[in-house]
Amino acid sequence: MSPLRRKLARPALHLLVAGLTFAAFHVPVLFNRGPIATWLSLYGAWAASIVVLVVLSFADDSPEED
Amino acid sequence: MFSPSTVVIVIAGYVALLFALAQAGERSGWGRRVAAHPLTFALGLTVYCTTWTFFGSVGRSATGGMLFLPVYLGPTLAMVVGWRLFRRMAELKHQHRLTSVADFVSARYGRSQTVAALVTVMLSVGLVPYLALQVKSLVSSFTMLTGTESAWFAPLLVAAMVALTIAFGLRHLDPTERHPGMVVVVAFESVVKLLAFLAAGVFVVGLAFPDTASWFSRLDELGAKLPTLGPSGANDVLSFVTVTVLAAGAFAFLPRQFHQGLIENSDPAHVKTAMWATPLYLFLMNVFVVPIALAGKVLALPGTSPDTYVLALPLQAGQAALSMFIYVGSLSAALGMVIVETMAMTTMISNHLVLPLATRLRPLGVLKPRMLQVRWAAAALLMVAAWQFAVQFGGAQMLVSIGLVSFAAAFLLVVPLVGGLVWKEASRVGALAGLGGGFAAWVWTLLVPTFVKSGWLPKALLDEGPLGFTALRPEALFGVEGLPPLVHGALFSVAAVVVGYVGGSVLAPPSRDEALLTEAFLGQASDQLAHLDGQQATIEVAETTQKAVTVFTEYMPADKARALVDEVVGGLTPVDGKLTVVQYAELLQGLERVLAGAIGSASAHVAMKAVGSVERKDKKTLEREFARVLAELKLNPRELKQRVDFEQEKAALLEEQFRALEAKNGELEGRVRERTRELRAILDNVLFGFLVVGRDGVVREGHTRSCQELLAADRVAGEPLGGLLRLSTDEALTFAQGIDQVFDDFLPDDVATAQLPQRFKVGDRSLRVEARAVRDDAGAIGALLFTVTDVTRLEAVELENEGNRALLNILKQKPAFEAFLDETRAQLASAADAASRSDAQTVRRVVHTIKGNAASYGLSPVVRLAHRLEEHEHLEPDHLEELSLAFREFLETHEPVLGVRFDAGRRRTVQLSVDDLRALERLAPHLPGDERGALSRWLEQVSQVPTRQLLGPIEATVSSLATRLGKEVALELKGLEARVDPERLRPFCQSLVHVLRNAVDHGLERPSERGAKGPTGHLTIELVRGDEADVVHVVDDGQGIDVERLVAVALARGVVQPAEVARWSDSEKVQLVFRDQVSTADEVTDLSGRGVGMAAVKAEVERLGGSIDIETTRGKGTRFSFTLPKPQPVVLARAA
Repeated sequence: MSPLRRKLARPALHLLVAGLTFAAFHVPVLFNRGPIATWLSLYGAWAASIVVLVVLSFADDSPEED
Repeated sequence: MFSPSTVVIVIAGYVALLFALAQAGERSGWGRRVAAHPLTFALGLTVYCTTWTFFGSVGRSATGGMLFLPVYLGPTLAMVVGWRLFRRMAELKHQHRLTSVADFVSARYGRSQTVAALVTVMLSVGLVPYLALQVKSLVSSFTMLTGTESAWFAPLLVAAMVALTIAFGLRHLDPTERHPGMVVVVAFESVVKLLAFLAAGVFVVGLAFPDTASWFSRLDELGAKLPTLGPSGANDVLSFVTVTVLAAGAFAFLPRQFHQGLIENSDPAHVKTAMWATPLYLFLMNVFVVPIALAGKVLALPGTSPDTYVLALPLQAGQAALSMFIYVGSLSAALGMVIVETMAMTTMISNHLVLPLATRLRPLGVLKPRMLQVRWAAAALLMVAAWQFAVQFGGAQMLVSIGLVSFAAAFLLVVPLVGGLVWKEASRVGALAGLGGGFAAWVWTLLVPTFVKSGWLPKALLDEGPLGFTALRPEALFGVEGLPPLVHGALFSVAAVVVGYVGGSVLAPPSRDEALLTEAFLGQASDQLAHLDGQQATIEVAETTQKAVTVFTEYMPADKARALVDEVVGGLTPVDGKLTVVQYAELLQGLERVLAGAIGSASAHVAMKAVGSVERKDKKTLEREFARVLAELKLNPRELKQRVDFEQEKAALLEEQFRALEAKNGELEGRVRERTRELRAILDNVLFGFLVVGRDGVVREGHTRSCQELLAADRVAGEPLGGLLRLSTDEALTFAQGIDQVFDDFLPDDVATAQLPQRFKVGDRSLRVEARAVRDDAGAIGALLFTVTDVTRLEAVELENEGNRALLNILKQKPAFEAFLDETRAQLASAADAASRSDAQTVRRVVHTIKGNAASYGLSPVVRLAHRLEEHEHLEPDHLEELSLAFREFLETHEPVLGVRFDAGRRRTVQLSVDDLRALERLAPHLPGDERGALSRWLEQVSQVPTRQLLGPIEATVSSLATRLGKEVALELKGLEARVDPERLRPFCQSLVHVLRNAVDHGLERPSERGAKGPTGHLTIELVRGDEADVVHVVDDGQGIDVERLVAVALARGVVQPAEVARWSDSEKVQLVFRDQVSTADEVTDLSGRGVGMAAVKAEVERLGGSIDIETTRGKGTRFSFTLPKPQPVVLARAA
């Protein structure tokens, strides 16, 4: 578990996730398929990003938490 | 409908409840625990959700579809990308006692008051409309709830908000102090506003769509009533993207967010909880926005403003209680925002606008000791301004758009704040140029159009530009037309910040003073005066103390000022009322840091100049000290600066070089950093001495006192230098001849003095001794001036750095290195055959080849051994085995980095199990003497490892814990190079981390609490080997164990009975620390406090058949001694 938690703390991973999240928040707006579909897609992307944040919160970036 | 008095009574009751919660948060243990909980911290950040969220989101959704959403998606994005940044900022805030976002920016840029003032003005201008929105929303919803307009309600509301802000957040001068009461209140309000909004959502959706199935089946039909975005097509998409980005920045840097996120943060680790909990809260807060907007479209009476759907629909349905609950929810949203925002803004206004003016303008000087009252007045002024803004500008829609304009103002801070953390060359001029330019662009492109649209400025300004300059039209600057106003304004404002910031920093880089302040702020300053540490205390502290008290008294009551100054002075332990130069510098820094907590770092920096200006007497003392140091260093001031610059550059190069290792191996990187710091410290702390020698080689009178310490001699003058350097007879003769040669003056001075040996070993100390000829007036050499330098630690660290460089070198050429190892093994085998045939030439050749190859990889221990072996006339197989062992030991030590073992090459290998080893051990006593010795040494090599290896990264653990807890800890390891059986001792060594964590967490105090013991706590781990047993000592000089408290906890938890305890001695009572569930910690943290870890340590010691002894003295520290008996008789010792 510890190596995985260390990998989760990599700044490059966070930048990648931020990029993907940014894209996920805007793709539904760019490809406008009507208000309800856009609404559901945006909230879906938002919920998914929160799940990702839960996972990232397990990141181990301090030596004493091994 | 409710009567106005009913609503006011409900509001008063709710406020009374908040007061009760605040009291609980401040005074009860339960309240403080709630305030310190990570979820409370996460809820505190949701102060982001204001009445704008409560009313504006639904209104904006009804008219602009999803355009309301990016305001909440932005913070989620900020959490993904910025949580490390938030944590770094929290650490800096704790370190420098920063008070606000303006203080943070100014502290980074040379503690510039101008920068702080500019940020304060920007945010004040940007946020008054935002506060106005809260007043306007509450007044409008009050009118809706009561059905009548009550002119008295708005002033009453404003007065109540000011009173609450003062009561909850402005009761103390020190704004860095956390407010647990307010934190609890804000968290409670966050829960209330969420529940209220969810209740509204559930009701409205149920009302509008009683049949859930029909709701889903009618989604498409209902969807037709909403736009996806606004009416502007592609421009709305641009707005969506822009607001997402602006919201991400505003979430971090709006004053209330900064205050909740940093100032009220009790533990940087809480950011990890907030990173998901806060976005989850925002998600839940918005989950019913679109359904309520849809329901409003279907059910609301004609003429109902979409902004009020959330309240109007329950009122329309006659749901009085629910309507009141929703109103209380909106009240919570407004109160939370107003209290925190006003508190943060008034701190900035008082510290960065009023205080500098009061310092410069004599008539305003009376305000300086009344800064708390100034804050109260500023809070009142801000809220009155907000109220009047709402009255004058009226239209809620305009206020909502100004909310986004406020976001843009906060976003401008992102560039200098984030840039300042990652770009050391960014300067104060750059920050001023960027912020000034950005603010001007923001006012022109975003604020002015808002005023024009509200009728305060002529419309021609937008259409034709100022005085007909169309290129300067606020919404079409330089001819850029067609963009949404927010996007246009944000684009130009941010561009202005970036251009000004980068351009200003490049054209006017930081001055040396500013660079030093920046380095101090970012924690990179090397203590350039550290080499003076340990010099005599010569500077009177009383006068400085009195001056500091006088300055402090200008801003706070005299008794508080005296107490704070005494605390700082007491921490430095003056000797007879005097301080060393270094302590004097520390005193000034400490006083400034403490004062910064009250009035901000920029104002404190200015105020402390009065304290730091030395009197004539002190000035002479300082000059004398400085001159003495320069004389000792044989440098003039310019050379000293060059030396410092050179050392800094060298250190920077070293750091750069070692950063390359980071990517390859984290452990190696950590070690290198530590040693680099040590190297720098050593360079600064090197001990020098000077002595003069005549032709007779005898030291003359007039040497520096340090020579006695360096040469370990009570008397130096009158003694021959050769004797003082502990030279043998031959060496002393050669040395004397060298001195004669210099005095003969046949050779140039530098050539002659270079003939003298320069490195000596005196006891444990390594000395570098350099000579320089001193000529008399006639030009003849009258004496030799010797510089004696202690290079012991320097040598050791250089040696280690050399080792690290070797590791890097090996990692870069690992395949070649492995091939070299294979080759070496083969060569050693053939050399062993040759040795047995007495073929000395072959053996010597092999050893020499190995030495050369090992040198190319930087394997210094191998090279040194090979060099020594080459001096033997006859090399034996045992010598070759020594060489193998040197390789094996080096690779074993660095196996975690290199992943290579000497025995694991491509060569044929034999694997031995632990049982095999035990069998060999049993066999050993029956072997002849020589073979027995060789086998035993070999067994020890293969079956034992240095104890240090078993302990893991304890330095990093202790250092990290200490940083996290705001403590200074010096860790010392003794005797851990001794080899032990890893199978047997690894579990115990791993369990020791519990003892270390407890020592750092509960034993050692914070620097301010250590008093005369000095700010740095000491923690020592020592292994003492014995014939029968090994003893591991863990010693700290902290506060000791509170035995009575320990007993009380054990009794309270039923771990022991009173009668049992009554019979115990103190030494038995203290053993309770090893019982499950017994801890003296006030609270359980993720570090310690559960009372479980120590029990694990005891279990491991008992498993080994050992015992534990604890000595503890309150206020002095604790010593744990773990006695671990040796399991079996040592093979060799019992074999004879």
